[in-house]
Amino acid sequence: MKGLPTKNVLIAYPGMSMMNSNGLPAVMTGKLYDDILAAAGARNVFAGADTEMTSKLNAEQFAAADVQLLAIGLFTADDDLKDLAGQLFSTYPRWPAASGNQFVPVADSVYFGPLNYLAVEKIAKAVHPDADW
Amino acid sequence: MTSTVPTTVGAGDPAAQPPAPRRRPRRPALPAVIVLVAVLLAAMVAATAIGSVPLSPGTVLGVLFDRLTRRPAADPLADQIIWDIRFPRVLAGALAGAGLAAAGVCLQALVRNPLADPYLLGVSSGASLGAVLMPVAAPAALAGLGVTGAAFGTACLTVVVVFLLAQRGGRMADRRLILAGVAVAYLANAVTSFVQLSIAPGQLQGIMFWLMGSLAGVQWTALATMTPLVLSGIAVLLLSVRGLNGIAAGDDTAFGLGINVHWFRIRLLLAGSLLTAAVVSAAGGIGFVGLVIPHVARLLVGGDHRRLLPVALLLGAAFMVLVDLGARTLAAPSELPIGIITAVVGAPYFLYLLRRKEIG
Repeated sequence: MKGLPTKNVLIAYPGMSMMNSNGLPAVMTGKLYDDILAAAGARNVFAGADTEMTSKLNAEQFAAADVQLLAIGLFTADDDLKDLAGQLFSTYPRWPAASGNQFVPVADSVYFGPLNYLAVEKIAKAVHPDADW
Repeated sequence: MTSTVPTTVGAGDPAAQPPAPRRRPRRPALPAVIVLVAVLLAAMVAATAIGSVPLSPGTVLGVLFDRLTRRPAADPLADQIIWDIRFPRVLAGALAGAGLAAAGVCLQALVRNPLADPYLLGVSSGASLGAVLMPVAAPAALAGLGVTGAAFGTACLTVVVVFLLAQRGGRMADRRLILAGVAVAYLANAVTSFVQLSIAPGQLQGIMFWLMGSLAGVQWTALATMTPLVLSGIAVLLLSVRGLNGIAAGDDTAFGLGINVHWFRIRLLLAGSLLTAAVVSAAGGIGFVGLVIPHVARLLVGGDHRRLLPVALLLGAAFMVLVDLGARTLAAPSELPIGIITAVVGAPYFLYLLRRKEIG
């Protein structure tokens, strides 16, 4: 991914909003998630934040985030990907990702484990759709 | 949760100091009202301007001007933060504070106990039970209610149960009302605790934050439900100030003033409970506001409800707006539950009241 322009990516799990005290989607921040995004040629929109950020995040910070691509996490099999992404985009229409409906689904692959390469590949393809894959 | 244990000390005790009007020099309310209106407005402006995303006062004013004149937003991000996040929250804080203060004034007069607060009748505990049950036990048909709707429904149900238990020979007895409220509150708390034990650990944090009180999730939709309920309850009480003076002085006095004591007490119970349920279902359990604010207002303008109620409303509104501002700035970017801050302020005052009562 070297030399390619990067994008700010938000990894959010709307179905895990119970992890946030303000009812916002759980967001994945911290070293592992930053590394996955970096490997995909992207940058965590909350890069450098600790893993506890998901519980502290408030609506103002969420609205002010510069989200160019939404990596939307599916928490349960019943989660409707397009519906969840649409709800976030309509709630935060100022995000650059909202205007272009830019999102990519992820699930367990962003958690630490052997499936991380899947997350890297999916996000990289969404961040750099014009690259030679 | 700070607010689920009802305050019953001195209930029905003849030695308790009732919040009835006493013979004392009349304290004019107008200066206090003017000052409190100014404080409330200043608090609302400050709370709208201050937040985790820094925005200049000019930007804040620009957003409000654009919205009020229906012009397109010059800065969409500032518009969303000010109009969709901060402003509903500030309004909800003012309404919650006014509602809890009014409920406190009402219930202290109703049960003639200066230590009564809006949670005396188990309303908060009932609301908490509904909020906790909703995510784990509600059938899909009720899912549209949301946590707020479920909390309001169980709060109202709790009031009905307490009211029925308080009946004796077709009359509502003070002591039975308080004891019924205490019993139902403890039962609801026990079920709430049991449910909390059985839910996923990840769900606990959100629920605990709600139980301790928070305005973080308030949006225009919640405000649309809360506002008419709170304003209706306040209107009923403002139209009942003469009766409140009578009932606070005793049933005989109220009867002598031509008040139908039984029905008037039911009216007060419904108004106080409606106010509490509306606030708790939107903002969670916020303790001590309904206890402390009426007493501070009494210190300012005396016990005559014609002056006490308006002053308590304004004082409660300003207090809650400032407390919420503190909740989201003291530990920024994290938010503190409002109940923690109100308890830090209210608990010492509550102990002071207890001590003064013992000395008296």
